[in-house]
Amino acid sequence: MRAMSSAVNGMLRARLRGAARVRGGGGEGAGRWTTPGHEERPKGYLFNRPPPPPGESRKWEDWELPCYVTSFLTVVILGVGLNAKPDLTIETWAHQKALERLQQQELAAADTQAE
Amino acid sequence: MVRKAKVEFDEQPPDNFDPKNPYADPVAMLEYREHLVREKWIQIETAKIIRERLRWCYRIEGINHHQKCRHLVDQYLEATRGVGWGKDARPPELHEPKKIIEAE
Repeated sequence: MRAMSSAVNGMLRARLRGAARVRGGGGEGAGRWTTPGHEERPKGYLFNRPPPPPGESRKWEDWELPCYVTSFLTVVILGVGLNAKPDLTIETWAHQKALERLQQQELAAADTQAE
Repeated sequence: MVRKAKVEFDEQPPDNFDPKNPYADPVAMLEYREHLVREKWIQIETAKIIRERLRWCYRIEGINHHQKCRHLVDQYLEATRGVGWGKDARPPELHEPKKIIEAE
């Protein structure tokens, strides 16, 4: 019993020493949860971008011009193209044919009545 | 390639199709089947058009729709005989073509 208890105590002491070493090694005070360059608090800038100097406007980034041009063209092409698409469904064709046949029937009925 | 603004189908069934021997000309059989489908679609749309006219007749004529819309009611009932998909479970007197009662 004494041998077992002494072994357990030895293991516990070793683990405690390791933990103390890890924590002590940080040194910066912030601990293990931070990395170099970590910011503790936000600066308050929208999109985290500092405002331009007074009198100047924001410069466009290199990806913005082609992105905006392409998006505009996409909207225009889809808006015009989908509206100009011809209606080739069977329902529309059948509707037109049904109207024509009904007109023919009405004309035939009128002719028979006239005669 | 210029897209067509309208579709055109032949209104007559294929000439070389023989109902007694359907597989003599498989192409004609397929064309005949497509022709049947188109005819069914036309019947469906005809019934829809007459139904819309009947609805407007009811709204316009008001309380007189019983007398003034009679002809449209008859026309609509005739237009819906055997029209549409999945009508095999209908009663035969409503599904089959109307039989003319011969006055004797």
